[in-house]
Amino acid sequence: MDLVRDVLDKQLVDREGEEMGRVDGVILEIRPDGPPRIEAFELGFVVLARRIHPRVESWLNWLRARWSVRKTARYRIPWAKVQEIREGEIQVDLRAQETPAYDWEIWLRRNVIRHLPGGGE
Amino acid sequence: MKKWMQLALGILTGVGGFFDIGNLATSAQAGASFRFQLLWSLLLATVFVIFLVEMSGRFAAVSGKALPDAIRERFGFTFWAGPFLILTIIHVLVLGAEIGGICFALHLVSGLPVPLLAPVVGILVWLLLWRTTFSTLENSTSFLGFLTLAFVIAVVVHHPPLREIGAGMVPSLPHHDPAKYWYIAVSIVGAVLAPYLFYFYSSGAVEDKWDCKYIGVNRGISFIGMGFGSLIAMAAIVVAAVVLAPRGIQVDDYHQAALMLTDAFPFWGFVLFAVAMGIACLGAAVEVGLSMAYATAQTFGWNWGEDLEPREDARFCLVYTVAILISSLIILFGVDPFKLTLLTMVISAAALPFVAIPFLLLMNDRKTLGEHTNGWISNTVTVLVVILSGVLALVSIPLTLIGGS
Amino acid sequence: MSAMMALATVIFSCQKQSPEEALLKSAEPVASWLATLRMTSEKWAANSAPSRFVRSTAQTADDSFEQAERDAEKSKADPGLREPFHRLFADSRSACDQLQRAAEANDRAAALPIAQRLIALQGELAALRKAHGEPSS
Repeated sequence: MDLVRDVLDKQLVDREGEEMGRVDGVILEIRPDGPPRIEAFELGFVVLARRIHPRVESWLNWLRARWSVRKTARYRIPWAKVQEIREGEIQVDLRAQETPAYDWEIWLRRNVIRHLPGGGE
Repeated sequence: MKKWMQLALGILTGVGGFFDIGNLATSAQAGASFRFQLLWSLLLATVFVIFLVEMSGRFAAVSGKALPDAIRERFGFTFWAGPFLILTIIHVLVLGAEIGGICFALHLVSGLPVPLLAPVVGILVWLLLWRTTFSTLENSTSFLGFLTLAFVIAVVVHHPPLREIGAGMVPSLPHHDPAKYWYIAVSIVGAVLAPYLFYFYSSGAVEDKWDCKYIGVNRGISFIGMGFGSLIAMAAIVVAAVVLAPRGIQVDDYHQAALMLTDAFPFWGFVLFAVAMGIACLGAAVEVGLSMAYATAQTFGWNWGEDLEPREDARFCLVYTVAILISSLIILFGVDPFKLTLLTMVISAAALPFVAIPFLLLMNDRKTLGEHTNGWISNTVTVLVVILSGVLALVSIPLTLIGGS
Repeated sequence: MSAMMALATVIFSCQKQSPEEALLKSAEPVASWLATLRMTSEKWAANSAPSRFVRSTAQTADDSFEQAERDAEKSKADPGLREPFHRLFADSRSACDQLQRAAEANDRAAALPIAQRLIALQGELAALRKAHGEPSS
C-alpha cells in the first residue's frame, strides 16, 4: 500500500521538532466498506524484530521483560495524533520526553550521564 | 566568506581524515613488497572515493538528511538490518585497528607495551568525543593532520625516480608473488573506501547545516581534500619503496615500518613517524566512533548530534562509548594490531556492495534530490564501484587465505 | 557460496605445498626480519632510533625466528635441506638475542658489530635460498 510505504520507517518528530524514533510498524484497520486505513503507528525494538523473524521478536521480548527500562514492548501512536506528514519526517502532537520513546534516553540521563564529568545539568 | 572557510576546513578534514591506520599499513606493505607497482590501486580507489564523498555531501546538502537516515527511510528496516549489523561489526574492528595504531605510536615514544596502553587510549578517545563539539573536533584533527605531510616531504628529500612512479600509476601485473600483490591491492581499496567515511561526511554536513548553496564547496572539498589525502598515502608507498624495499624489508608488523622516515630525517624521522601515526589514527578513531553513533541513532530515529550536550542525546553517546569499550578491549587482550588492520581492510572491501548499491539508488531519486541527481559521469563511476564491490566481495576472503601471510 | 570457494581454495593451496616448498616459504619472513634488524642496528648506531625501540623490535623479530625454527624442526623435508635452514634460523635467534641484550644495556657500541653479524646471516640465507631455487608462490 502506497500510504504504508510512505509512512513506514519514517522519522517521527514531536510537536517541538525533537526526534522521537521511527515508525517501526503500522496497524491497519480493515474496513468492510472501503480500503484499509491506518489506525496507528507502532514503535519499539520488538516491533522491528518481528519484521525480521518472529523468533527474534520473542527472544527480544524476553530480554526486554528482564532487563529493559521500557514499560511496554510496543508503543502505539494513534493516527489522530499525526499533525503533519512532511518530506522526510512525520510530526505528531506529543511531547517526546513524556512518551515511552524516551524511556531509555531518560533512564540513561538520570542514572549514567549525570554521574559522569560534564554530564550534569 | 564563510563558505571559503568551510572549503579550507573541509580540505583539511579531507587531508586529516583520509590517511588512517589502514592507509598507513597497506601503503607500507605495498611499497616494501612491490615498490611503486601498486600506486595504481591507490589512484583508482581515490578516484572512486572522490566521487562517493561528493555524492554523500551533495545528498546531505540537498535533502538535509545523512545517509543512514535516508537508507532506512527509503529501503526499510528489513533491508537495512543485515548490512547495518555487518557494517557495525566492521566498524568496531576498524576502531580497534585505529586504537591499536595510537597505542603503537605511544609505544614508540614511551616504550610501554601496546596492550597496556589500550585503556588509556580508549579513555582519551572517549573524552574527546564526550567533551568536544563537532566543529572543535573537525578543526583540531584537521590542523594536526598536517603533520602527516612528513611523508610527502620525505619523498621530496629522497628524489625518487619519477618515471618509475609514473609507471606505477598504470595497472600492471606482478613479477612475483601474485597472490600477495592482489591481496594488498584489495586491502588498499578497502582502506580507502571505508564505509565510515561516507556516513561521517554526510552526517557532518547535516551537523554543519549545509544546504544547496554548499554544493560547489562540497565538490571542492571532495576533490581537493580527498586528493591531498591520497597524496599522503601515495607518499607513504613511495617512501616504503625507497627505504624498505631495497633493504629487503617486508612489512608484517608496525616495527618494520617505524623507521621509514629516518633516511630522509636522520634525527627527527623516528619521532615524526610516531607523531604522524598517532595523530592520523586519533583523528580516524574519533571519526569512526562518531560515524557509528550517527548511523545507529539515525537508524533508530534517536536524537543525535555531537554539538549537543551528552545529556541531550544520551543514547547517541552510549553508542560510541560501547564501541570504544569493545575496541579497546580487543587491543587490551593482545590482538596483534597490524594483523587486525589488514584483516579489517579486507573484510571492509568485501562488504562494499552494502555501501555502493544504496548510492546508486539514492543519488538518482528525483523526489529527494530534484535537479541535483547524478549526472552520467557520477552514475558511471557509481556503477563501476558497484561492479568492483561485487568482485571484491567474491575474491577478498579467498585472497586473504592464500595471499595474506 | 563464497564460504565454499574459500574452503576450496584453502584445501587447494594446502595440498599444493611440498615440505621443501614450505621450508623455503618459511625463510621469507626470516629474511625480512634479518633485514629489519640490520636496519634497526644501523639506525641505532647512527642515533636515529632509541634503545627501547631496538629492544622491542628484537623481541618481535625473535617471535618470528622462533616460529621458523620450530617449523624447520618439524619439517619433513630432506635433512640435507632442513639442517642448514634450521641452523640458520637458530643463528638468527642468537643474533637477535644478542641485539636485545645490547639494547637493554644501552650498549650502542655493539650495534655495528651486530649489524655485521646480521649481514653475514643475510648472505648465508640468500645463498641457501638461491641454491634450492626460489620458492614458488
